[in-house]
Amino acid sequence: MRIQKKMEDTPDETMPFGLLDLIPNGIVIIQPDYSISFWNACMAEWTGISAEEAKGTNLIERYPALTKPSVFDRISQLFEGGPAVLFSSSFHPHLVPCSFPNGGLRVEKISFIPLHHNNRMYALVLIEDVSDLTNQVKAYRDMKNVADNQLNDLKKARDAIYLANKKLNLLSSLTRHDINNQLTILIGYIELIRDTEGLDPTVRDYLDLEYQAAETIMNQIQFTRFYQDIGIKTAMWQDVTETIRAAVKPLALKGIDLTIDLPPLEVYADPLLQRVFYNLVENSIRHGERLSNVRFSSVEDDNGLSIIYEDDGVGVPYEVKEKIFRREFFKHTGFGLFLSSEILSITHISIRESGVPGTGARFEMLVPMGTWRMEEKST
Amino acid sequence: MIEIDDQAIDAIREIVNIGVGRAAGQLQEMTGSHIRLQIPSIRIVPFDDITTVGNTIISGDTLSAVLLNFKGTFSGISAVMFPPESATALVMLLTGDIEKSPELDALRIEALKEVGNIIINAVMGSIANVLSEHLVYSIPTYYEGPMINLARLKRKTSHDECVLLARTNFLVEKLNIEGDILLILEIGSLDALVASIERVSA
Repeated sequence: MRIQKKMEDTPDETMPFGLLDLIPNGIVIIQPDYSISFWNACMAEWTGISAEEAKGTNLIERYPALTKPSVFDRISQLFEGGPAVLFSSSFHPHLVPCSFPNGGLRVEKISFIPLHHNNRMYALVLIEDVSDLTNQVKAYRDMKNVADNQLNDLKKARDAIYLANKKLNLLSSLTRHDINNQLTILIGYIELIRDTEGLDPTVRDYLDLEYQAAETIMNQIQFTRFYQDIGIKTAMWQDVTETIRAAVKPLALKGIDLTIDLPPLEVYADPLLQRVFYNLVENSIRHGERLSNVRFSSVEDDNGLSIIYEDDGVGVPYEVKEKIFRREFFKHTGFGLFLSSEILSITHISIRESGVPGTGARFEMLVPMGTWRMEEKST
Repeated sequence: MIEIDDQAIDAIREIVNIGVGRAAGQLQEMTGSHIRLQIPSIRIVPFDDITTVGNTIISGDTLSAVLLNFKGTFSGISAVMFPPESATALVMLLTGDIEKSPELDALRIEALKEVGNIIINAVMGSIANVLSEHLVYSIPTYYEGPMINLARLKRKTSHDECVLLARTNFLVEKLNIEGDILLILEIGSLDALVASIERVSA
């Protein structure tokens, strides 16, 4: 084979290829014998070979990688009337080696495209520099791999926490069961002693105090049963009206009117949301005294959406409006409002009491933007 | 609905079979795995119905395809289509990339385009050679999305225009990579194709 020797078959000088010198990609036009008819300015810059030097020489003799059967056979099909042939950078990064000014090879994507001019067949060889794209994609892949690994680690940590929590809950459940058994025995004996005839009144008073203390312990133990479930299950979107209906079902609402005046609303909350609504209504029944109406409604403003719960009971005195959400206030609220506040706070929903004492209780649950949505009404 | 006799269908099936057989050979060489080829199914259907007559690849939510338009004595579209998971698995296999959750990024799409180019060129080159027909081809393009959108994109005339759909399903055994080779032929070209086949057969 003649290496880089001028071909005798002169290129078709009438071909209007001058414009291709303006293209910022390497462009070479070859004849069916692979002799070079055109070599654009970009190729001259990338290879350091001038157009005059390149024209008439043989492309595959100049670049031996093109003679590999898996490459050459495909290119030759083009000259037999076949479609364009593509060589991706993944498989052939340097088929026609082109350098950067400071050394190093450009990563290339090459297309051989059939070209017909004046009843003669040519192939336009388009060489695209995809070095930047390649580097960017590789950097992206590296970043993604790091993120994947971190996500994997987080998943493992989450699974480990979930498992530990499950075990703690099991332990807590067994302990609670054992304590309840012992408390039942203790209360039983206290009752037996209290029923003893001729018991010293002072001792009886002490026994009453012991009985109360045992009952308080039982309530506290009962509270841990609910509290341990908070945050265990993933928060989810819940239809508020349906959740309220399910919450009040077990409650005796005899003589009390329930109004749910809500749009088709969903909130993103802990699965124990139902317990919150239960606690609010149960609290009204327990403490409302002259209760006849309870109502759920909503108000939307710039801060988000507030779900309002109101009753027409005696209301909450000003001095305890904040205290009712504290754990220590359990004697009055049976832990319900503390528990409710904790459940809601998992998805950043806040709760406050804003009613006027004497006219009824009013609880506002502020649901932040992004954690509520309304079902679109079909027209 | 345009009728076409069984003899012509058989002739088209045979010519397509030669093309996809050669393409399967190329794919086998690339993957080093045996390629199981189905017998090409040949149907004449309204263009808008081509998504409903295929298998899960064509009717699926999304596919990765390399397409080539051709014009000449007969005109149409030649395509190789993969479910995205198969497309990714094939490119990963051929490039030797190892990644936990790979995706078809710009470089892998280019690699898939080359693979599709090899397969389609084998099919079309073979058909054109056997029939000694000169065809003019577009530059291969990549498409990702549902087939129905692709069909709409490529629709040239009316919705109910009939086309000849030749579909061959292939499976890269051991690697569970599947795909379809499709040849969608404009119905106006059918007579020319059949005539060409008859001429060669004679």
